[in-house]
Amino acid sequence: MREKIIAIIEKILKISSGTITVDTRIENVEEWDSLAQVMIIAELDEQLGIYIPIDEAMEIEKVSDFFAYIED
Amino acid sequence: MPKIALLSNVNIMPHIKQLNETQNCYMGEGYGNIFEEMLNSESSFNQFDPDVVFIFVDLSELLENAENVKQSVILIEEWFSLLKKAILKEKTYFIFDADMRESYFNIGNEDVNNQIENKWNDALNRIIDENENVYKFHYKKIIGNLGKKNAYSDKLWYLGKIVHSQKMQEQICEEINHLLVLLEGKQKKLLVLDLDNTLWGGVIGESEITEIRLGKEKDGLIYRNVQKIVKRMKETGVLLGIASKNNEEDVFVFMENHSGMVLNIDDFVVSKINWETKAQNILEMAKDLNIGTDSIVFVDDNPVEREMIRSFLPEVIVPEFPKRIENYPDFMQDIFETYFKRLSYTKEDFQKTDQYFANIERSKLEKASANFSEYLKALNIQIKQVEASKNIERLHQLVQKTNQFNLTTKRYSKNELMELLSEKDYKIYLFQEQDKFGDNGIIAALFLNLKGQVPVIENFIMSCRVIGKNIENYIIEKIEKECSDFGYDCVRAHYMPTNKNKPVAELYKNLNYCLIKEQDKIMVYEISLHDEKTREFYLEEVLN
Repeated sequence: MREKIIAIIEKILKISSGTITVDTRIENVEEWDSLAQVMIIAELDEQLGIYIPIDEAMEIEKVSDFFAYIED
Repeated sequence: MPKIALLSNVNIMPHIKQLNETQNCYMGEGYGNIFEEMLNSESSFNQFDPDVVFIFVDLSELLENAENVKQSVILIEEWFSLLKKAILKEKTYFIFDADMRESYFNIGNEDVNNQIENKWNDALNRIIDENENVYKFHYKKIIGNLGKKNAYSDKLWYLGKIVHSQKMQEQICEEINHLLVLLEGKQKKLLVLDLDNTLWGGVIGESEITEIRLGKEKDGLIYRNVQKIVKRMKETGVLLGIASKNNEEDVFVFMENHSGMVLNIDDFVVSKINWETKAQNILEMAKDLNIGTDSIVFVDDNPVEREMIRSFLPEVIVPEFPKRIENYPDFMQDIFETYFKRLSYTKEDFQKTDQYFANIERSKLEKASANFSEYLKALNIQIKQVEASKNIERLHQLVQKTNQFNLTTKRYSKNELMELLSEKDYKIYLFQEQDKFGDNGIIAALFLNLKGQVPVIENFIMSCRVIGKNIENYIIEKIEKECSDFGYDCVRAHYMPTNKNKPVAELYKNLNYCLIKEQDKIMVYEISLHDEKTREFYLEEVLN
């Protein structure tokens, strides 16, 4: 699941695979603006069923924050 | 590449980013300021100065503050009256038709959304009728294909004011790219069809063994529906041809008598039913109709035939036949959308098959006449000059689509044409022609530049369907006479050789013009207006 999340992020940011790791912080990726963030959250929901509440969406700062929303 | 812009009252940044992968699209300063951007001459939108503008209005957002249908109607009317002020003649616009995203308007009255959408679409249709440069973007159709649930994303909307799902964004961008191709107006002309297992199921030559399937059941219904689509295509001006290995008589008997047939033999402007190779037959069709093989699409269920055309005539479009027969009608419709559809249709388009038919009748008369002059006389050609400014669509079509009788093959956009027409020292002559076999519509255009000391025929274009009737002799003589009346002593004319306009390489020479120089690939010819000329043509001039 973690690999799938990273793959979706890389696809939306249109950057080559391997660029994003578990420890990547959003502020360090030029392509990762607020628009990209919105698209990533919607796509994670649609493709993987990962639900991130709207009011928490902008609190995410790094890739690993997404993992907290993976349901067991 | 044209400069384009997509404007909206909701967030369309993802669309724009996607468009910019292949297009030169205006990046915008946020969203929601459609008219501020369009009307303010200092805006970055106007600095960018796009050629083609797409406008998407999310109606639910536009009507956010409306409390009832009446208020909605007022807002829509206001929107369109602003649009009228904002559109400029030299740009092209595509406006999205209506789809109400939110359904809460409908609570208590299931019809409200429909009423609002109708109001928008009526206003849109009116503005399209009034402006040649405004077209509809068929947005609702895409929503329908995807389904509302897949097209819209609540999550994206509440997070970022983006209404469309990723899938829908892709579809919109795809349609925009497609419309930009259509805007170039370089569509195909002739659809060549095989018969057995293409227009019906089964093989005519074996119909005693296995039945032909064409009618109201199972795959017979599929072939019938394909025929309906092809018939509609023909009505929009697509020319149809048959290339089939069969006995011609068997085919004619079948086509005339089978109750399942939608198409009849008269729908086909040309048919080659014989045992020659299809490559040979397609070449002959191109010759008969005076069109290039690069304006032909060939459909055949047989992979061997398709491969053969691909290798012998690589410029002919040969789509792969669908693997599943139930996809065949969609496949045919796709062929129309991709290769034949046009943004707007002129009166000439709807008469096209009749015009080419008349051409075939003409060549019969030519064979029957003792000599060429006699034939020309018997044709009863009538020619009429028409106003270019009132026939921009057709003029533009002639300029874009004519390859053979086109002395320079310079393409002009609609704006360039309008600009030329507005100039005092520039004339564009347009001619309409008919003969005893039918009305050919507007068939020739001549561009005359009167800015210098000597008038120059900068371009001369004639539709291939009237080539060989000596009409060019009449037109050139008419222009020369006008120039003489204006007080000029001579006229110059330009010819620029291309791969396709060889048929007119000798035109000016044959009209007694002398080649005086060659510059930048343009051959400049000249003729004195005082010399006596003997040019043959037989036609009647119809005055307005």
